[in-house]
Amino acid sequence: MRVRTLLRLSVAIAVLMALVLGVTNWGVAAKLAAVSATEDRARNAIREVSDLLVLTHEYAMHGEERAAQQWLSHHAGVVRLLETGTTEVVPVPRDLAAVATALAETFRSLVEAGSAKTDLQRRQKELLLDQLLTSSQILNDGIDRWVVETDAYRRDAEKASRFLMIAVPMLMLLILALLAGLLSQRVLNPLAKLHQAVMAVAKGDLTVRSATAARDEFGELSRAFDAMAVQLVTELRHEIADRARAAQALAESEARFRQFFAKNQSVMLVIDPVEERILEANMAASTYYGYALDELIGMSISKINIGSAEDVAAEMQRTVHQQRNYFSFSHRLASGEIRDVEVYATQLLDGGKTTIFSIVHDVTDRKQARKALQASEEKFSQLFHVLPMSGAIYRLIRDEQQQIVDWEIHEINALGAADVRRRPEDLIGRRARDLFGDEVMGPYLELCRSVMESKQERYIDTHFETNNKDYLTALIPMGNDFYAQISIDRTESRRATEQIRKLSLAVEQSPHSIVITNVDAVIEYANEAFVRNTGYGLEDVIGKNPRILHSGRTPAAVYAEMWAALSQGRLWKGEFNNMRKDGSEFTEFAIITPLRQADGRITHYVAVKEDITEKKRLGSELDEHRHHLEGMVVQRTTELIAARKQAEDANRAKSAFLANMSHEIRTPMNGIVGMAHLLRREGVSPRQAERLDTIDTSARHLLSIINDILDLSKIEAGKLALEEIPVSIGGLLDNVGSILAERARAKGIRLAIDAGLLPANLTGDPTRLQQALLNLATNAIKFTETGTVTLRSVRLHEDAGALLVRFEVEDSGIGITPEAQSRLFSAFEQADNSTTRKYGGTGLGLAITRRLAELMGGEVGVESVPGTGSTFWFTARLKKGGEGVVERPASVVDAEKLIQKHYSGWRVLITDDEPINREIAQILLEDIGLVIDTAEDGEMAISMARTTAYAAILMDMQMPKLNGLDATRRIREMPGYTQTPIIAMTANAFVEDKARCFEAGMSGFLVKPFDPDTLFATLLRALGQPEV
Amino acid sequence: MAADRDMTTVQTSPVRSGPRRLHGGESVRCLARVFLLMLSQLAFAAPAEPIRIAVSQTPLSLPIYVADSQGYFAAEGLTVRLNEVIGGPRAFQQMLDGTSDLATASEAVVMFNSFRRSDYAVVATFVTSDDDSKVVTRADSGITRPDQLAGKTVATVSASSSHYYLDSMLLLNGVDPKSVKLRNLQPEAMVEALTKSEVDAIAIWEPFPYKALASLPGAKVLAKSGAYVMSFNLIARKQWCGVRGEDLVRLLRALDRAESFINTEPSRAQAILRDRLQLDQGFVDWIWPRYKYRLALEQSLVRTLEAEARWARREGHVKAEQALNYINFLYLPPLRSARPGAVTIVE
Repeated sequence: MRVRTLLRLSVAIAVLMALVLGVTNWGVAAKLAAVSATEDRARNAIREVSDLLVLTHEYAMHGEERAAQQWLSHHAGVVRLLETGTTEVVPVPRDLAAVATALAETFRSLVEAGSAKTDLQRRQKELLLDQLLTSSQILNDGIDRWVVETDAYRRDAEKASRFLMIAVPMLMLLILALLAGLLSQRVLNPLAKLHQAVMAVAKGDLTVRSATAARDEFGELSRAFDAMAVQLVTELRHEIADRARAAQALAESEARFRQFFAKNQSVMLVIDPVEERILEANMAASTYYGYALDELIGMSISKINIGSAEDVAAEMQRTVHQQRNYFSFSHRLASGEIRDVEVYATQLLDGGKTTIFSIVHDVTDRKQARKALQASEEKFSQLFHVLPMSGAIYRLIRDEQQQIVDWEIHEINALGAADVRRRPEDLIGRRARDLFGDEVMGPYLELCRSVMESKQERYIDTHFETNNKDYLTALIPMGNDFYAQISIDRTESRRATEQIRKLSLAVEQSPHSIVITNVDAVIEYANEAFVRNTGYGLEDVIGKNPRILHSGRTPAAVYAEMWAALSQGRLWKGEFNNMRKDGSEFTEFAIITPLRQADGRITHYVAVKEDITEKKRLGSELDEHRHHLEGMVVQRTTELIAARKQAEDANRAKSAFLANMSHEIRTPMNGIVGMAHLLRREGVSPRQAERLDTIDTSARHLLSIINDILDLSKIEAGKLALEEIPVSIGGLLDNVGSILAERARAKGIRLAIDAGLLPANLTGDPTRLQQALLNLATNAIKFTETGTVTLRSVRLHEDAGALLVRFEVEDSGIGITPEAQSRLFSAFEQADNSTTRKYGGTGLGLAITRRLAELMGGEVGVESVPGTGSTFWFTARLKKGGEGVVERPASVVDAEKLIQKHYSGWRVLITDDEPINREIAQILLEDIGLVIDTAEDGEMAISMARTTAYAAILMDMQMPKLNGLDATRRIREMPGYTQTPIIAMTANAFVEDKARCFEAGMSGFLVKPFDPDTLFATLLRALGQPEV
Repeated sequence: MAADRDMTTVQTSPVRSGPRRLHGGESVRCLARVFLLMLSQLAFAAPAEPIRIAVSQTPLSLPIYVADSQGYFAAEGLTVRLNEVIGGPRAFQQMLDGTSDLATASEAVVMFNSFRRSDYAVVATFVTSDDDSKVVTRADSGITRPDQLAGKTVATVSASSSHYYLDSMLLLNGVDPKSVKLRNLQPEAMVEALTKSEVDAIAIWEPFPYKALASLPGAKVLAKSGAYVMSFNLIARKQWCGVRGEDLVRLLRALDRAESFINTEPSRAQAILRDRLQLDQGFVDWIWPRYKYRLALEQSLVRTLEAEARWARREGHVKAEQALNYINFLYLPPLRSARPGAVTIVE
């Protein structure tokens, strides 16, 4: 680092340190002062609140007005202290002010309550006092926190201050000491060394050096001193050598110049301008003028210069005064011949005397040649300008390597200038590159170079963009630096040729036959198409009459009509039946036009002919086909109408059959299930119980098959209506879990439920979702022997209106091969036929799940590894924006016991046309303490309801005379029956049946066959679940 | 710790014994030690018993939700399982039943139970609010002021902070609480009861007032009465505190971090609240300014407990001969070591 920088740095650091110290002290003092102020405020606030607490107690005990007054005054003090100011470094905890304000309100309420007279007032006052004390304590706690925070802040500030007070001065001292040491080392040592060196040089010792390596100012000074010493020695030596060399050079130069003058081939004279005499002359002068050298020296200049004596004297003075150094004179030789010369004259100073040194050139021959050339150029120029072609002469411009890079227009005639739409005077002297640009110049330059190299003229075709014309251009080299360009306009002749060529091609290549005849119908031209179409060669037809094509089948009237038109100079169109050279016939459509010359005379006929034989044949065929097709369409339409009617009839019959079958099978099934249940209630042996289990299981299996078949046929007929009601996915999974829990436990399988986080406000058809999931889960348990079955719901995709949810059932079962996977979701398919034998089932479950998923906007699938397990899944789109399902804890209440306890002795009416069903329901309900009446049809039910007030009515839907729905409507109109529970019993298990029941005013719905628990639960719900 | 000490002993003893051969008795003792060491290591290696917290589903429990979802519990090396229930009384009951180790509940619940048993203690207060419980009336009930509640049917959760708030409101407005027909309902049944006109008003804590206002057009909240500041606390059985004192300190440290998170990143904390309670931003905006999340144990808690106890005895909600010392229902050491300065109660 340089000493100057070091000095500046020292001063800067010292100033900075002083500043930092000052600012730090000031900052710390200010901060501590602020902390003290805040502390004072906080402590005062604490004192005030403590006083408040004491005064509250005083007032509560004695009710003294003084205490109330002091309380309010202290409270005002607290509020003032808690007001947020700008000085505190630790802010007042938020909301303390609000607590203080609320405190005053409570205190005022206490004062207003006065002395308690009634019990209520006493209780009120005690509550107020408690709240007042608690609020005061909350205030106290808050201010305490403030004090604690302020304390912590002060401790931190003091710690920082102590550190700074010691650290800053110490650091400053250390840096200053370092700088002082550095300076003494860097300044004093080099100074002493330099002093010694200067003293030595002063004594004349130029070899001495100070030799300091430092990079600072002393280093620079030392190096400068050493360089100065070296320079001094070197310059002294050079001075001496230079002087010796100069003396020798002068002598040599003089000798050289003397020789140069004497032996020079140019004529040279030295003249005295005052005496006007020749002072010196060389051998060349002697030879040129024809005088001996000694004759010439001393000769008066007027003897050889034929100009007047005054002129010569004046010119010489001009030379002396350096006004001019070039002159043209006429000199006389010794022979008397007069020659034109050019003289280059220079003034010479020779020892204080002025002389004139002249070099004389003979220019007589050159002048004559120039005159001859001028005459020739004038003649050429006249020719150039009157030429009926574009002409230009260019001067070539070469670069340093003598490469042609551009040219300048040297001469151009009027036509040449007109080609580029200019006048000659605007172009002469212009550069080609400036006029045409680099793009145009490129190729021309190449051309020009090759012409100039070959020194041969060249002819090329050119096209001018400026006037869109074509030229034949001649490029003619002229010496080394010029070349000429002459262009002849060929645009018009080119165009005409091109036009004729195109027309000729069109005719030649036309797909139609074209024939040209003269007025005597002798063929002069026929094109290729004619040759192709007729089979005749050109040699066969040129010079012949077109008659050679006649087949004899064209009516004579056609030819007559044709000639009539043509002879009048009109165009004619018509068909000919002609014959080819090979004898085959063909039909031609011809257009024949007369050709007129400029004077209106007809000289030729042109016939254009098309072979239309094939077109005519296709036309007639097409007509035949059209007639045939129309007939077929009429016939097919009739057949289709009949077939559709048949299919619709069959489908109606199928639907009716299925509905009937459902109803007809369910009704007796109710008997079987019910009776089995009743038998068991009456007490049976273990063996009988086992058999009853078999009956029950078989019945339920049968029922599930019927349900599956019905569902599938409904879906396939497009008649399955989906509900749109709130759905809880979690509840759904739990439901399926609880339905299957027992089955899983029996097989020793773990059943896990993993309901992902899904919104609560979804709508869809919970019944169908559950059915689909239950199908998959039932299969999973059926095909799993050990391990876990997991039910899972996952959010797949979400948009503004809906959510795509994926339901998964993962098992650790037998798995499915990839081939079987592809067939699984078709109706009546299982992984293989042996599956049915081993595990049972109709194979309809997965097909139904697939159809249901598709109805709900989703799809189904399975991922499986045989032997490891499978994951069956389906997706469904659920709409968002419902009200959400309120999740209730599952009721574990035993409906049977509750009915026994709360509704024993209540009277219930059972209406069903099927005696077995009536009997079952009656026995079941009587068993739990209800009193039962029965009716066989709707009318009977109405008349019984009129005489007896029933607590509830069970109503079959399909009955003779009056069905359940109509009966319900009429009962509802009867007095006292508007709210009575009426529960539908039906073998029709569809959503729309349920809807119809509720529409008719029913309040519950039981699907036959039902099990007793369902019956009790439904009845309990309808009667109203008592509070527990 | 015991396992650590055993391990040290076994590892150093061969060094000290040096080349000396082991006598028969010594080798048996040595083997026994190794066996004991293996046993103790087995016990040590077993994962720590998870801490089960019965959490009341209310915005008051936000610090626990935040600590859970931000992984603060795990960062302290704790496994925490949250058993979410509706209402502090249920959470408290779970803690007493032993199905949870800790419960979140208001100080009112602590007070009411203090007359029956004394085997639990408040470990920390983590939030206070002067506006949590509210009295909501139906539009057609004609009640717009607290004094109109006389003779009406009002539902509340008995022995809860809402109960105390309702009684205070009635007393302060000159209505004898005995003149009001009180129905004890569970929190989640309140809104339906109000909707079906089974009651004229409900006194309940958030989020139920918000739900009632949202689902019942014309429903009104009666203006706040009194200066009740409720606190929500972490409560544990005393015996459990003794066994899991160290874990309790870690748990409180996690809650301390959660508090900082709530104060420094309110919008993220609100998002957690929305997710946990499955409620909308409108609800969060409605409650946010009313809660002060701060971990503490302060004298005002003792005062509040005493004031409520006096009220409960005075109004006949509890039968008790004499007042209780509520210092015995506080357990201060864990918070003192987790956050010194947050405890200002003098024992």
